[in-house]
Amino acid sequence: MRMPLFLTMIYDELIRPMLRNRKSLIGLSGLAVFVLVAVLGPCFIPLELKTDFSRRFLPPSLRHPLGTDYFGNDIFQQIVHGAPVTLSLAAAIALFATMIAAIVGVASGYVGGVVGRLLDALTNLFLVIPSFPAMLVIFVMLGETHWLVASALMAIWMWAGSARNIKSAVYSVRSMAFVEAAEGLNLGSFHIVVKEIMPHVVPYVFASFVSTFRGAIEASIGLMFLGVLKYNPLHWGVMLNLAIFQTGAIYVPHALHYPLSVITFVALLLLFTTLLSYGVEEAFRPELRGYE
Amino acid sequence: MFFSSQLRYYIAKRLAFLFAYIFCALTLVFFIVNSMPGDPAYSLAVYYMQVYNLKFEDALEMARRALGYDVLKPVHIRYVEYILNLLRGNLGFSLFYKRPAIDVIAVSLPWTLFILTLATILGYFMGTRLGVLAAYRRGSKSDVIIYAVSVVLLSLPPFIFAIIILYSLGVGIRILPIGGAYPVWTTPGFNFDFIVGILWHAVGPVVAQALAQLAGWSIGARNVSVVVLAEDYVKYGVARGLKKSTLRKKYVWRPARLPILTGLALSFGYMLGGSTLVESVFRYPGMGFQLAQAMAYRDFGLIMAIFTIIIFTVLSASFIIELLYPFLDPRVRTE
Repeated sequence: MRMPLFLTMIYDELIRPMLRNRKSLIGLSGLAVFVLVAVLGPCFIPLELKTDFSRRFLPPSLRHPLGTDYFGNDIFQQIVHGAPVTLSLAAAIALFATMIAAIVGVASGYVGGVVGRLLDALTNLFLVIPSFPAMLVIFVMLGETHWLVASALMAIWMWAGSARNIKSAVYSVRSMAFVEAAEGLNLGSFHIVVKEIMPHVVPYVFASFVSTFRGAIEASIGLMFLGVLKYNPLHWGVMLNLAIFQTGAIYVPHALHYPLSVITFVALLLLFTTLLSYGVEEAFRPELRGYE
Repeated sequence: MFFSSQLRYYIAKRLAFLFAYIFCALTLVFFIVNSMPGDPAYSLAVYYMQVYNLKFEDALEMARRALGYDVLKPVHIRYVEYILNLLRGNLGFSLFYKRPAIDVIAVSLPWTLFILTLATILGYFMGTRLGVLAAYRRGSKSDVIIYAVSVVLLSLPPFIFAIIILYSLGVGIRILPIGGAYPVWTTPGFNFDFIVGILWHAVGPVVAQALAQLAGWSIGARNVSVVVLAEDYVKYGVARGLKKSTLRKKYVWRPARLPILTGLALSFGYMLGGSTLVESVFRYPGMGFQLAQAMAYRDFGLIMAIFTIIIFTVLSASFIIELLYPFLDPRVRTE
């Protein structure tokens, strides 16, 4: 009996509001296309990386839907094979950051007292340290790393905002009557946090995940664009770095398609995740709704 | 009224918080950076190997000497040295420029602050105006348009705008310069050509930074104002037949701007973080571009110094904004 109840709750409080909000629906559909391309694309579209300068900056054609780059490689193939790299890195960062945020948020919201105040101070501290330069410094010091290590290191700088939101959600649920009843029944803090409070905080945790995912895409592309973090040349940020800084394609008139196609895909991905993030926030906070 | 004892207490408290925050933030960053498994000397050695064509052992020895980096020294001793040096105003030494890092920063920081101040003012005032307008016409066509455009603008980071502006207006139709902070043919100083040149070169970076801010303020101001507009005292004001402008300035915007102001400090930090990317795209000689250059040359002394200054700048900006609170919110004055 317990699982189905939990599933209906997930559907009622998480999925249905998301599908009913126009913004999150558009964002979710767009993102679904990207994920589909990332998962299935590499199976169908082969990747041929062979330097051939005679084919440099070829315009879009049937054979090369988005043209070729500086090295004479097909841009579309690189974008398709770069999609899983880009998305998985951002998802890993968002996952790590949301985990930290949920632990800190729930702990400081529920426990309170000295521990709560210390966690609050820590959250505020991380909130004011500019995250992007911090990541830059860390990666310059560290050099090359495994992508999961890199994502954990980036997550360290991206959890604070989410922790604050989750904390305030926990705080408001904590004072509700059913939590007081559970406390009166002496059910133990583990039961209260996991069974009573968490189900009501899940939407906020999810909203945090989505907005961190968006921030993670921006930050990872920014880092790769600057050439600080290079673990895979197919990541869209590295492609952008090559297009703008390394190959000087931006100053070559007939190479317009190269930076433009990379920027378009980056912009579309960011647009869909932003729409999803805003839609999710609105779905859970109806007073923000402007028009439906 | 403004410099009552409560206010003096408030300022003293904020100032104490400022120093505590700066101290804690620098300590935190120092230990995180120093607990990295990687060795900066190793990374510098690889760079020296390529540049001076050395054997790895020699390059590593050279890198260790250059960094003044003693492996045998424990972390806590190095931490105490770092803090003591900071208190003496010594931020470290730039290996690339062969000068104290503070001299390099003193040249580049003003450019960054110039860009960010202009972008903040532009983005804040235009964005909040648009947001309040949208909140007033909630559900109308202009609300939908302002909101949709804001969401699209907000979804793109400043460096994407920077690339687009550089590409279309700089390289494409050539009405904006493609790099630098002033035209090379002008003499720096107080003359007409130079000042116009500075403004002309600032257009790209400022607009790139301001667009996303503008959109953020517009959505933020709209959401706050929508809540305030639903308050009973606003309805009462409407019922009393107050002028629309009075209502907007004295009834809606006064409480609505407070939560927005808090975001101003955070957005300044975000912009300062993003300035590395924007300035690199425009090759604008600010601190962000300097940071990108320092990373390319593995100039670790300058990197840490710039990061210290970034933390200092962001926290000082939020301190200045906190000082505005008592003037805007009577509750803070009398607390």
